[in-house]
Amino acid sequence: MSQIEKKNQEFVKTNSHVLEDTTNQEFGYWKSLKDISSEDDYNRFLKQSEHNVDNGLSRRNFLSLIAASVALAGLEGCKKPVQKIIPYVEAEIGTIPGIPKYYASTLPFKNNALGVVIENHDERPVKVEGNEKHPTSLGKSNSFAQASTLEMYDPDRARGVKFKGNKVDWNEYLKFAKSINDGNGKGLAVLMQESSSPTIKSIQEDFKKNLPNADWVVYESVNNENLYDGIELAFSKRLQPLYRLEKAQIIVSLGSDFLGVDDNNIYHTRKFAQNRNIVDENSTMNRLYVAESSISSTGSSADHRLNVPQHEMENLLAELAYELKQLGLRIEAKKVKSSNNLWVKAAAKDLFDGRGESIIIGGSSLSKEFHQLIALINYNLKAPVDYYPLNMSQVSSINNFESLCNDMKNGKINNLIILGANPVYDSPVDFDFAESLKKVKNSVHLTNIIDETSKLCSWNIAMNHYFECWGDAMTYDGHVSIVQPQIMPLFDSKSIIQVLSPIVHSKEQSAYDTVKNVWKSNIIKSGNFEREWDKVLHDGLYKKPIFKKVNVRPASKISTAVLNNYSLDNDKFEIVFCPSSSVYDGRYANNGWLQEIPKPITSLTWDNAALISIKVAKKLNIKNGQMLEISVGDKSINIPAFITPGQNQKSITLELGYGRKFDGRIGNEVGFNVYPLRSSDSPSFILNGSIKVLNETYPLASTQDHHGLEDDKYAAPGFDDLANKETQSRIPELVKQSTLDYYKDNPDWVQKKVEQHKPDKNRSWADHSMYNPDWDYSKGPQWGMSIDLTSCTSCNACSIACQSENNIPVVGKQQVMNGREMHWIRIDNYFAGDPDNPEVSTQSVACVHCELAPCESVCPVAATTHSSDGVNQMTYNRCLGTRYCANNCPYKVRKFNFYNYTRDLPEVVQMAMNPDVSIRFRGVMEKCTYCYQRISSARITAENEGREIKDGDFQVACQQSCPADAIKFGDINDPNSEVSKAKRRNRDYALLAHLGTAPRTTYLAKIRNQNPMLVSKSQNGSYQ
Amino acid sequence: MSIKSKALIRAEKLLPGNQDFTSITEDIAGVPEQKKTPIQWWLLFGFSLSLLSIFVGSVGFLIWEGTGIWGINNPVFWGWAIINFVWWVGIGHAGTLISAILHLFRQNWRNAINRFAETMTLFAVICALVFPGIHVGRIWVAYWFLPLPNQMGMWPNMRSPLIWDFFAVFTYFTVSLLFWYTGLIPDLATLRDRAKGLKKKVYGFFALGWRGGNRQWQHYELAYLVLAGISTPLVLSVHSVVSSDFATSVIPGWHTTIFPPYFVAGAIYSGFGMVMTLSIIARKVYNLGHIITVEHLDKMAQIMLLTGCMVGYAYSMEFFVAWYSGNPYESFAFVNRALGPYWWGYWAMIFCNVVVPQFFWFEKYRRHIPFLFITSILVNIGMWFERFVIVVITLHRDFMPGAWAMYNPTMWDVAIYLGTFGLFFTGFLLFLRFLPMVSIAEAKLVLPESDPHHGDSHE
Repeated sequence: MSQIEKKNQEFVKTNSHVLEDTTNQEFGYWKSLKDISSEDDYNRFLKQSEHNVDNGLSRRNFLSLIAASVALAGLEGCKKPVQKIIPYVEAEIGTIPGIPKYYASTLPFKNNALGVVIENHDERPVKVEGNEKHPTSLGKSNSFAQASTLEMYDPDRARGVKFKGNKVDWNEYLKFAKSINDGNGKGLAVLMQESSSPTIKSIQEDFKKNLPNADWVVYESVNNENLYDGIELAFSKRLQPLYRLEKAQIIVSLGSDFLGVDDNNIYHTRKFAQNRNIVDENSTMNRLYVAESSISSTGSSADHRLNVPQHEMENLLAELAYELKQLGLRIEAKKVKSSNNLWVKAAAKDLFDGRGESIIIGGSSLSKEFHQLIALINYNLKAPVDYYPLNMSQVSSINNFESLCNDMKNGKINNLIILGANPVYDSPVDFDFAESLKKVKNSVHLTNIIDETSKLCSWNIAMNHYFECWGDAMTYDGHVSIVQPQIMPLFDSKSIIQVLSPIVHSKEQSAYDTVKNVWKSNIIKSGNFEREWDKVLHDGLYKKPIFKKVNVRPASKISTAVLNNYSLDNDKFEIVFCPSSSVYDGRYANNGWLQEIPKPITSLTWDNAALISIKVAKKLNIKNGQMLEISVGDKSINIPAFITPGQNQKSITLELGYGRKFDGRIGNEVGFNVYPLRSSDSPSFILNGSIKVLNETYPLASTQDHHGLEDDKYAAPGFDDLANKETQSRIPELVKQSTLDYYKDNPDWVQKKVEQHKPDKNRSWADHSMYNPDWDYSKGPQWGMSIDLTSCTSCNACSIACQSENNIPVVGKQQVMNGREMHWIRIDNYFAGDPDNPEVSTQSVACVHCELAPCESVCPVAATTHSSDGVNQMTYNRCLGTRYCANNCPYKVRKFNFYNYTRDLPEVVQMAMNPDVSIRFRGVMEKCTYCYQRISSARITAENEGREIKDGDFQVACQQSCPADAIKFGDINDPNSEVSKAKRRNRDYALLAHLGTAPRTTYLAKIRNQNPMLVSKSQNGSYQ
Repeated sequence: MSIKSKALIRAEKLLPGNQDFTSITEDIAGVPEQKKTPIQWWLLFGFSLSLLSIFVGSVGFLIWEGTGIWGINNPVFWGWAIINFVWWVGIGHAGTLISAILHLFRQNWRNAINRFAETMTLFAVICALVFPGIHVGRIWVAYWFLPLPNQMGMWPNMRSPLIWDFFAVFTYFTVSLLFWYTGLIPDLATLRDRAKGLKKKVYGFFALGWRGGNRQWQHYELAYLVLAGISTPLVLSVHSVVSSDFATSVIPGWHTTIFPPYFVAGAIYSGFGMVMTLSIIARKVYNLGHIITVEHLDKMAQIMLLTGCMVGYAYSMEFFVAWYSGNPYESFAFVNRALGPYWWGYWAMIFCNVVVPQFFWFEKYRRHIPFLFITSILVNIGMWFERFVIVVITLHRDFMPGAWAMYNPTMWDVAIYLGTFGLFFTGFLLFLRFLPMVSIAEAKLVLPESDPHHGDSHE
């Protein structure tokens, strides 16, 4: 039985008190101390409680009262019995304080669903993990999912209902909502983001039925419309493709960041990494070709990356198609201008030879005709891609959105209901949504934060976080997953269902009833409903998908793809827009964890920038942080430049989602808004942007100074490549790597390399141990970790998971600029070779838990010591803060609390903290603990059960989140543990092994599966 | 016609002008006995006090706010605080060297400057000791450095060089204080005998009943000799131990065996630099050119030349070893010192510590007082840069380029550094005002009168 199954059984057992939502409830929202400070509420609550007291003050009531008085972390007992949400003080027998509970739920993201398991401490959700049973997450997660905890406890979230800025009662809204249901719906429109919820779909159907003349528009600023359109052209049906990467040996990505920020990235990474799991030299692995204009996570994982500007991507695809046709693939393709690039020939040959196991994935910048071409090529390649029905009414449509804007402008819309979206900020600039919105008489904005759109809407309603409400979502392949509340709404917020139902049905419906009814009639069609429903609550999803994959048949063999006649003026650039890996399209702008996480490749935090190539920077004499005026036509923005290796010389990349002006204290005016350049006809890139170098610089906070390709601008005159040369010479030492072919010929090259500098074997580290020199470290569990650099995509999920698990503070931009970011896991990026198309080596580094730890011997007060199970531990209470340990750490993984970073933490944010991990005070050192709280908890459980800890009893946070499954953790004394197996592989090496620190965390060398066609002989194995 | 005795020749060089016991006593004791404090003293004292208030204010802010007010970061976890600590400890070396080692070698020319140097040592070590205290993250538990018995049985980690350091510097301070005080006793008695009222009582209390009797002198000389014997190894050990903070680490550029002797040489170098600076000021302000003579300054310049060359040798040897070891990390650490982003710090160090003292090969420069004054200050700047090179340049780029970063000091780094000058000079000026700045008893030793053999030594 898996871990989660076990944990969830607990949930089913406790399921007698049905989790309910809060409709009609007079008082019963889970509140923080801050919220309850409103005297009236509090007195009213006490009065209700007094009622209980009259009946005799039982111990239970007493506790309930105490809890209410303290309102400790929003855990007061609730009044009405049916509406209870597992009140902590009246928890059923068997609840043990301090033992977390795990409930399955779903994180809805656009038109996808990510199954999660949420860890609740004392009925307070604090940590998100992937749900092993869920087909999209497969037990893993990404940085957005991990950071959703902080989003929940954001003190800036909208509260209650506001009408024209004044707080009003929910009933006022109900009155209004009922009044606009005139049975016709003329002048009414709903605008929402993409969704996959069957419940919302059913409401939508009722909406169409009850209000036939009303509009329902879906718009998402980052969408896949071109892809769906292309598939429609190819197969006459709008379908959702699902790339079965576990079956793909050759993957060609044309501008798609499918391992990074593109949709369904966890699933992709998980499946992609399955084919990169190299056990020994006889293993095979997939080969990834990526063509892109700016290095993405996907590009950095590529075996062969081609640097192409976006506007030449279609030509590249046409060329590829022609090559495939030449090779004999049944496809119509004309000869096009050839770039004579060997990459195309090699990719085409690999694709063709690997028919049935090869696939092309197109990025959103390709036009629909080219997506059609890709679909046809994939079809003829028998590529492992499945197509599923797509609910068109729930995916973004730019045409519908445009006509809505026009209607608004023309005064045809009287009532506009905006659900979650923020169109004032992120809609195409030519639609001028803000102006159109002013013409709408009544506008309702359901929002999680008072944002740009809320400020222009008459009604603002706080929106539930997915921790707080009932709902559902569906995966691409038709698995319907349940969103179930973990906690009562903190900020008097409402769900989409609650806001819509009075309009659609003229009466407010509880979200719980609505969801359950939809599931009864549409989803769980067989078996005993209640039993199945309980199982769904336990598993997080219904086991049977509601639809099957569609067998596609090309509408025609001929692709309609005609090359756009893109031309770029000589001194002009193409401007490429991409969603941010941190804030996406702006929706996570107020999330400190995401703002501070260093972006893959650039290591930039707290800002977006115009990514420009090294050569362009040299030519135009642009320094990092230099302000540029980027203009296209009559539109222009100012944004600082950031010089990025691998950036195309004709291309400037701008990340969406920054420069917001809203009520979020974290993200307000952070970075630069690039939406003013983005119009509806060119959402992905614009040609002929010009840049003007301004004589002003802007400080950018990057966590890594040296990647290996940028100049050492302060070095002695004439030596500005000093650091680059050195960095590049160290890359093969730090990130050991070879090609697959070299590895097959020299399977022991890593071990040979390690042997060269192996410290004296006679040095036993136990002799140097400070305490218990006689301790036998060959007994008992000894913890260790293995990180596979071949499958790591540097996606940051581990780093944020660690931040969430270990209460790592956010320090802010200034402190990051001072080099004081606190992440226990940092991801180093190194570049080597051609600055335009560098070889990228990434490496996640946390404390490696040296057996002979240099930090331990130098601490004057013995605050960092070794545990009997081989973990290098920090005793925060004892730490004096001399920082000597950190100086003496060769890996520089220790982080110091230079200030009291947690002093000003709002009470609400304190609720996001993991109670198993202490909050560190100013002046103490901290670092990776191997999630010792998890080790302890597993050890206690094992001891209670009278057994040894088994492999797989627990996972550490980074390991648990890693979508590539690159991290293994466990007992290295157990020869059968996953980590022991990983460490026995011949790619295993320790970082800086020559120092004799004997780290417990070791790495598995990076293997690149390079095509011999593309690797010159001299280059092959050049890494050694 | 008489042949001038060697003693007389020496005395003429070291104490020119026809001086006798009385004139020496009058000249030296006259300074603390001045009825009216010279205006220059007040000006200097006011300046020092304002620096001291900067020190108190900025340390207060540091305690309130945390070490984050400094420029330190990851990976440069130690910044100006440790640089200043090592720098001040280094300066504190000349005192004991002059007092103890030169005493053992019977270098009587030291007698004009040893009090000076010892006092300077004391205040320099006080300034140095401030830093280990305030640089820690949690100042309020800094006493955990001490091996205090406690109910948890927690003891300091005796393997940590910081603990060695702490003990070494404290021992040095204690011995220096005793040495200084022992040397003061006869002079305190002189002042007592010449003073009236409260002053007489205070000087009398500290003079410990000194009468200048034969037996007292005999005991005194012995005690002084024993203390000199105890101090001598300390001169070598303190900075060796301080250097082990760096030398015992694994960081390339720190992990070198040359550090102990190199640190000691550098410490003496900077100590003499500071003594030179202070004595040139004092002899000017108090017109003591006939007691602290050019001859003294010349001798000090010679020692600076020697130690400067030793330091220069160490610098070049570090490079040689880095190259010869074939260790790429080690090599880069040194190349980065000379050519990396802080190259100016390295070359400032080389210029001040290696190039400048070469002028001392020539007597002309050794006796050119303005030149000596500028040089002595340059030497101390150079020695500060040496520690900057060791601490900052080494740390900012160690093993993993992914963790490399730049270091920028803040105004608080500067304020606390400047503030320690306030602490130093306030103490030093009070010393000048109330205690004899030159050892009266020992200055008399170089007079022919104090040589009972009239030059008929055992040569």
